[in-house]
Amino acid sequence: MKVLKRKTVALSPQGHAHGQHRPSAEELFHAPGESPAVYSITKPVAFAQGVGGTHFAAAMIRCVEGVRDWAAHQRHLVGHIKVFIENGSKDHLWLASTGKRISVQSSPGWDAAVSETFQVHFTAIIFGPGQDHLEEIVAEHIQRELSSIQP
Amino acid sequence: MKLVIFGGFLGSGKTSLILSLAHHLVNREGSEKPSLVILENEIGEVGIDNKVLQAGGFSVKELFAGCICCTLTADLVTTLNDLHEKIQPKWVIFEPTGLAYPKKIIETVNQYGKGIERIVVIAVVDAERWEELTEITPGLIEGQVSSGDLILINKCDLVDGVALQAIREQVRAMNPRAEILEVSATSGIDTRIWGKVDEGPEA
Ligand SMILES: Nc1nc2c(ncn2[C@@H]2O[C@H](COP(=O)(O)OP(=O)(O)O)[C@@H](O)[C@H]2O)c(=O)[nH]1
Ligand SMILES: [Mg+2]
Repeated sequence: MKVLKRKTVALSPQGHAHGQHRPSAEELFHAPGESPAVYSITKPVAFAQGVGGTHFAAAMIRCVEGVRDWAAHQRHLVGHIKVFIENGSKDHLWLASTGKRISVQSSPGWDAAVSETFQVHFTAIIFGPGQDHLEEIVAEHIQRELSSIQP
Repeated sequence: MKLVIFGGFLGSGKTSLILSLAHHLVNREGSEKPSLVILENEIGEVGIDNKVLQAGGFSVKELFAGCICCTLTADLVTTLNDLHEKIQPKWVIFEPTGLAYPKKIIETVNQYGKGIERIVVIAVVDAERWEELTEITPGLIEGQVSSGDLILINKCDLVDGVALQAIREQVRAMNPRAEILEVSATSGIDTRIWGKVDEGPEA
């Protein structure tokens, strides 16, 4: 499985990406608080044999559940967790959660399609954890659930 | 060009509502040049909502900016002026990040934007998370609600009537002038609501 990790934009006070302006907690929230940690990647996934849409979706749902439950356990506020996945035939699956339910929507062909390649776009915006810690946790959940998929 | 800005916290339902409005506008215009462009600014290197909107068949442009609060106003103005010169769409819908203050965006667009007849700001309120968010980030929520010309209290399917009434009262206190409507993006939006966006007074 090839992992292509793109640069994440650190919005924590240490790693703000904007050249001129660094938002303080007060500016963002007008209240004590902090900027969120952001995990945002595109990850191409390939299997030796085709994997069904329902099967792949179930793994991705477990992954979002895992990150959500971790955030809840740590009492971190979830900005959102969103995932968009395309399979080899351009069907797509969209998952989103703000910390409670997980909504799952897909194009009509997704469930029945069997594909060897998937493109996973994953963004988690969480208030509370350090940037590195969030990256580590989310990457771990993605890795675990993807490797649980048996074609 | 008419510019519709959707303000509201992360996950409040902006993209779901934009999908509904975009369908309404395209259906109404029929085969005539649809003339709708959606501008997306998202937190994080990889955009998700822009892909959702593209999958819906709409023309979407991503705006890039490292900073989530000053929110790209320079990039936005450049893009709007470029659209005005090259495409002249009838409608531009802009979704800033869930941490943006629409007021800053409106000020910049008013000052530097060309060819914009009217700006409508829709403030989206997440009914499910109202209590939590007004506690954790009151300044941002108030900033977003107070800038709305129209306020959509979304996710009404997830809260009861008593909670909704309390939200409505607090929203009203933050914004005495705007119309406040209760909606649920996932259960479908009455097209009369989008008619309000459509037929409002010219600027
Ligand atoms: N139950 C319910 N869920 C909704 C509603 N509107 C949006 N959602 C869900 O809330 C999540 C975030 O919605 P989205 O449109 O992406 O919000 P955005 O982050 O503000 O653009 C998604 O899982 C949506 O399916 C609604 O009216 N009711
Ligand atoms: Mg959105």
